[in-house]
Amino acid sequence: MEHLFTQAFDLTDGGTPCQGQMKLMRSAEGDFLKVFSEEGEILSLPTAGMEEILLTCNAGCGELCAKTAEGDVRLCRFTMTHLEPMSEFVKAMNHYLTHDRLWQDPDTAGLYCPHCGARYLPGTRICPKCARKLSGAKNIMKIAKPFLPGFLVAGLLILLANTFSLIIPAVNRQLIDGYLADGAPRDLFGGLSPVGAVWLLVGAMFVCHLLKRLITVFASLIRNKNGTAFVYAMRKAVYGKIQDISLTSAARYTAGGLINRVTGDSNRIADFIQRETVWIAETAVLFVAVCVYFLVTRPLLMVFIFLPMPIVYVATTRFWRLIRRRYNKQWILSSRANNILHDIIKGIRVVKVFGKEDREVEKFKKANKDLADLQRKNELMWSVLSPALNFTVGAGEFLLLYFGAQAVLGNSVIGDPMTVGELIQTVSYAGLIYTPLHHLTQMPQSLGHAATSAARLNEILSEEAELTDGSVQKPITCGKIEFHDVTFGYTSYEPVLKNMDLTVDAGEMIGIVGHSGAGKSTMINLILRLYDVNSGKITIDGTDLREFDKKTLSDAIGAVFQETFLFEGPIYDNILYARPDATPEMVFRAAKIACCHEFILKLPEGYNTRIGQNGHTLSGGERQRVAIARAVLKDPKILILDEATASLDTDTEAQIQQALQYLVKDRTTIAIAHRLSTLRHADRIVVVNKGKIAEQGPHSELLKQKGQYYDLVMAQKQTTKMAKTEESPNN
Amino acid sequence: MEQHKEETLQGQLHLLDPATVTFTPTPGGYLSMTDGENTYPRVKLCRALPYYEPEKYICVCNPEDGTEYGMIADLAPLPEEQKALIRQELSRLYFMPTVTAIRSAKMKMGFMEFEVDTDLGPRSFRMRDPSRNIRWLTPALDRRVQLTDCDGNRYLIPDAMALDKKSRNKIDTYLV
Repeated sequence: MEHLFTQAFDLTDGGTPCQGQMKLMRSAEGDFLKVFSEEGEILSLPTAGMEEILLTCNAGCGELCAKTAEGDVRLCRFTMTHLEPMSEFVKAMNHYLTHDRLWQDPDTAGLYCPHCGARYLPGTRICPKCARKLSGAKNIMKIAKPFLPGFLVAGLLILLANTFSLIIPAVNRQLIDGYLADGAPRDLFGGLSPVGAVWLLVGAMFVCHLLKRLITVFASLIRNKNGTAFVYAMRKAVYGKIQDISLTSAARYTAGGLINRVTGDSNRIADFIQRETVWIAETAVLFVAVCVYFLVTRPLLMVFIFLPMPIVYVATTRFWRLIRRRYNKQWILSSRANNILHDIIKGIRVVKVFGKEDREVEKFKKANKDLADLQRKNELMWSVLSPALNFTVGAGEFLLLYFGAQAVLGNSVIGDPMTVGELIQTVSYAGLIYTPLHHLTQMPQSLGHAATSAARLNEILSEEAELTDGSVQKPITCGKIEFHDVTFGYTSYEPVLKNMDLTVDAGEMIGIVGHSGAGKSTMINLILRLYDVNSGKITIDGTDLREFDKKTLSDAIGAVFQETFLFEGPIYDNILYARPDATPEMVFRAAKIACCHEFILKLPEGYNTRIGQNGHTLSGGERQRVAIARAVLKDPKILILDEATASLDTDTEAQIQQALQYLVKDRTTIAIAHRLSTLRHADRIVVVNKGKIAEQGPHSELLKQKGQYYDLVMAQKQTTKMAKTEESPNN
Repeated sequence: MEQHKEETLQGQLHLLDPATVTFTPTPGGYLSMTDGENTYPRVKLCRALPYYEPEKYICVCNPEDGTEYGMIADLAPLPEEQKALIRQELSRLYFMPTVTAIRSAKMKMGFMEFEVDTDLGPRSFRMRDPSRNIRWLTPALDRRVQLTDCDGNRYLIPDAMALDKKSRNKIDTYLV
């Protein structure tokens, strides 16, 4: 028996995990689809009687169903982890059932790492196995390169400042042992009087302090200047990349995710480089220097310094973990309270209409109280634990102080007897190590955060454009659009368009009608090349869309959608957006065609009226007309109107329709409308149903056919009639 | 069917009479339904309120286009073997292993990586944005918590307060 295709599944009928397989097998009697559990074959169906394989997505699981002449047969169940491969299997199987040959191109490339075969982190192109945490730094290092000398200088300055930290206790020791202690020789500087020597030593310490502070300030200045420039460069790079990547790639990321990367992640990395690297340098230098000092002078003291280290380490990590968790929760609670507030304010109309003000106040009160309670608890914990921690950290110094004092008194267990000055120097040095210790314990975490941010930024920076732009720059002159056997779906298991063929001649105006969800807008998304077809092709003037250069395509196509997006700024700039070199006269003409010239002139600031946040609010119809003006100004070869006049009253719509009549004259126009009267000037109507073209032809011909279009027209006629009879008593 | 359409227009529920409705398994592994003289060769069942009322408001639909044939208001009055058939069919629509302990939950590269013990054995999964995907299932009723991983698999913690302390600490931050 020849074995053609295998697909694994992971749930039994009863809902327990299993390792099952579906196999398409070929034998002398024909082809069979067989289902195997771990025990053996449980189902065998001849593919001859099979019509289709269907995938159903349920809650947390899915199942496959085979439609056969004898009725539906449940093939297998699987968890959501298997959804993507399963939908590929279904596609391949259905291709096999309709075309009687296997489809050798299961499209899983976007899901699995080409190097190791492991699955990418969902929604990203990061392979969890291959991505070394720091490999993300490569692209970032490229951006960071020009700033490295600056950071290096800052680092060196900090180093210098720290040398002063080390010098001060040494000078202090000389002061104490040389002049202040009992029986001090008081002759360190030859002929200098003791008072003069004290002046000199104290002055030296003062100068050291001053220099240390001054250098630190200077280093911070350099660091900050460099850091901001670095963040700016990084944001610029990421933002530029986001504009470059095609829409399918962009669609893989959420808007919030992208914004986060531009702002949050780049900030975090710059922060890390600015602050942490300096800290690492500082701490490491101090640590090494102090250790060397002790090793050379009193190796035994090292033991006392390191003895409390494990305790301090454990205490600080514990403490930080606890604090972090508590404050994280507080952050989540506060963002929830904010969300509630945001929701209520945005939905104030709904709240008032339903009279639920009290309830909303109660809800907000509760969220706020939860937050306040937790905040109080956290503050309390902080105020108790923080001193406790500091005490633990300081406890090591007491140990040192005790044995040091013993050594001063002559009961030394740490080698030679000590002088008071040496003791004080020792304690100061120990303090220099202990203080940054809690910071050291946080290091792994902040390193981890920075590495994650780096990986995420790197993902964008190394993003290869998925919808590769072609090189054809020949301008589109005719505007003939053809769909050849096009199949497409937003998710792989649910095709929206199925084997669609359609020809729109140059200069023709076609209207697309159909029920919601029939695939009308999807057709337009494909023509605009917001997505690429799954199979088949779309051509304009005989050239595949994928071969066109991005600019050529966008120059040739203009679109107006029902959901119009206007940028914040003057109306004039919004219209001009389509064609920045247009003269004011051209803008006014476009506005006239779109019937918005007059209402704009009625505004006190005319075309300079700002719209958007803190500006003038336009109604839905007004916004739509501005958007139409924008498309008109662009004067494209192909015009796409997706419910472009849906928010307008019928009179204004008729007026715009007339104006568009001139506009659509020698250009290809594709219009979608639910209100069928919108399409009365169309050369041809295309009725789309369930991803396929049900009928097409001129309005009159389709009416004669009495098919789906006829039904739609009749249904709308009835509603208009109803509206008219309701209106007439008032007239 | 005409009567059915009329009911829909009037906003009435078409409740199935437990006395006249019978479900029979089909050879393909699905259910067929007879209601009086009407026979439906394959029906799809689903719960209207899967988390609030799992044993009530069971919808019987056309598997092709989802039109509703009727609703079973409550399973209780049905005969035991009918109940068993319906429960079995419904169980195929919901898959949510029960978490008994959380071994580890760590943020890694922007995802929370979980290792848990469930009633179906140990499982590991990745979760995006834990503050959205760890949540009380029915906060007004009980302490069930649902975890949703990045593939869309769900995991149930039957009582978050009954989890051992180590396990609970790992997700406590998000249980607000």
